[in-house]
Amino acid sequence: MSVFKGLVTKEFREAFRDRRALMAGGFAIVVGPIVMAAMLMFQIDQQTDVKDSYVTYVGAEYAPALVEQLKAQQILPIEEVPEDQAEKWSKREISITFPADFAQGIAQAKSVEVVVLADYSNKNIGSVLRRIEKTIERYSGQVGSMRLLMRGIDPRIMQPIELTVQNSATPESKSGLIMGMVAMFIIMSLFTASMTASIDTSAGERERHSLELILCQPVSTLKIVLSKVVCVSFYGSIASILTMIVMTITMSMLPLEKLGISIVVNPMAMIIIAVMLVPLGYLAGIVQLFFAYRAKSFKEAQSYLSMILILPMLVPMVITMMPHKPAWLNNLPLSGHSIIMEELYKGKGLELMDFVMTNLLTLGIAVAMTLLLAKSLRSEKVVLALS
Amino acid sequence: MLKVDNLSKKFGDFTAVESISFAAQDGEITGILGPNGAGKTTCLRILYGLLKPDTGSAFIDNINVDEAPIKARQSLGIFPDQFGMSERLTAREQIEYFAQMHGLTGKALKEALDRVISDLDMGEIADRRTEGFSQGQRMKVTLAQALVHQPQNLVLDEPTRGLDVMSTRLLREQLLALKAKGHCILFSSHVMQEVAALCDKVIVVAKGKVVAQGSPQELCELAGKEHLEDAFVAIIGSDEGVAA
Repeated sequence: MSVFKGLVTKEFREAFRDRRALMAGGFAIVVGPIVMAAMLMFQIDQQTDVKDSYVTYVGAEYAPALVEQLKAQQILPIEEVPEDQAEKWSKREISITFPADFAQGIAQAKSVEVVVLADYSNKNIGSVLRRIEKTIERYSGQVGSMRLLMRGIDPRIMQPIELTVQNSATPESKSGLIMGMVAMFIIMSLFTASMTASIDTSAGERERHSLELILCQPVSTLKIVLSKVVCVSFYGSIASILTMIVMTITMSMLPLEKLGISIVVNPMAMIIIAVMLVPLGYLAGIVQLFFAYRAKSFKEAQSYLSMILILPMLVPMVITMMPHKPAWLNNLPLSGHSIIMEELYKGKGLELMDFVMTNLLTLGIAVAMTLLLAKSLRSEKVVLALS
Repeated sequence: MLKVDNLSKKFGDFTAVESISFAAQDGEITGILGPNGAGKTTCLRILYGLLKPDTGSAFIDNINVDEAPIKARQSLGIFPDQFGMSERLTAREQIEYFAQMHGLTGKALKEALDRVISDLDMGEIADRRTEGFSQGQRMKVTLAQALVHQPQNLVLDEPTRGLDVMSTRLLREQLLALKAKGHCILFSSHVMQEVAALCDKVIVVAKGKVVAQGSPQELCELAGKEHLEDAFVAIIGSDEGVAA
């Protein structure tokens, strides 16, 4: 045991004096919350305030009543645009054209053509265009009802079915994609934070010509691997628990209710997530060490590990987008973890069975890889990096 | 005592060592002399238990390295051909790491560190990080790592490569002191003077085989030459890869 303590002490000394590794850890902790905050702020800004929009009215004088209704919906004539937005709106080129015979057509109960000209592929003006269409349709409906009434017909005859939509989505459950991203950033930080440390202690040690001498000492390779994985996993787990805390606090400070979603911040959920990040951190650490030991140099190891980094990015995102998740996904490492995290943030309860199975499976794979790595460090090929 | 018996090792089609046998006795300095690529390092790696021989066995104090590598390595100190430093550790921390791998703890650990640091006159550099150490300072750290647990057997692989006169002298003094205390020292080299000056016994290796062994005197007599260098060239039949 004392031998092991010595090995671990050395690993911690090296890892926590490594400025590159510390920077990587710090970066991993702040980048997720910053990106999420920026993205959500932008969305909130876009979706919540209905801002004044400016369009070109052609022939407004022919349809004063409709134009009044449009103006009431903040669809204003381009002539009134304030200077700082003039360029933006003149570029968007939205125009509404009313024909000269508008009033006459309405009076004679005919169909009148109103033309909306705009670039419908421009997503930025999508909501403006929807508002224009809705306003015109509503006006059209009003005029239609009036015509029926004047002919002594109940306008409801035109509406055989009255559709009532009752949305059962709660603010929590609407947040699927966002929660997926939160889970992604938390899991990703496990890998990004410990990547530099794990390369340095494996391929880096080989590059510094220390590895061979260490493997010639009277210590089992299992102890050496364990001392390294303890340190690397500690790095990753701490960074990702901190990411989770910073992320949760950031999210709880944003006015998410304006997007119609909410995130549940309860200490118990945070503790459960933190507990779960430890076995996952162990797996992340051993996977990275396993592949880094196969590299001859720091650089080669970096290219292997950046390929592995794609996994924690993709899995949580794919999981959130999957319409029907097969049940086995609940218990796999990464996917199981991101599902549990999502559910907890949505305020749903914890499926104890899934929690236990996911973490047991994660630990099982990690232990198997630890033994495999310890064994491979006794093989000539890996020791001398012969390929 | 270190002993290898009938070692052979192939890498693919290339035969690195073939049927090598020799022994290094306690209280003696034994040199493995051979040109570059003769199989010296391969032979030592088998002795450390890092490589598995195709035939034969290696023994450290009569323990078969292949059968009980960890037990065998306990009485072995290794001075490798590359001075690998963990640059974020101080010299003392680095020596401590190796001492702990040999099971030293607590008071014994502290005493061993203090002793080796004073023996090698490293007081000034002991608590500095090894980043930026000169070749001579790196040599001291590496030697301290190998000696901190006072191993009965010490193996050095090309120890004086790249060292200045002062460092070489210090190393030589240490080796002679250890020999006087009855330790077994084995070192590989292609530098003739070093071998002639230090070794009680020389094993000449060429193309993976032992071509001659004996005291420097005996080798000169064997080859009928006055200087060891000439004897060496005569024995291996070429002067390729040998430094004077």
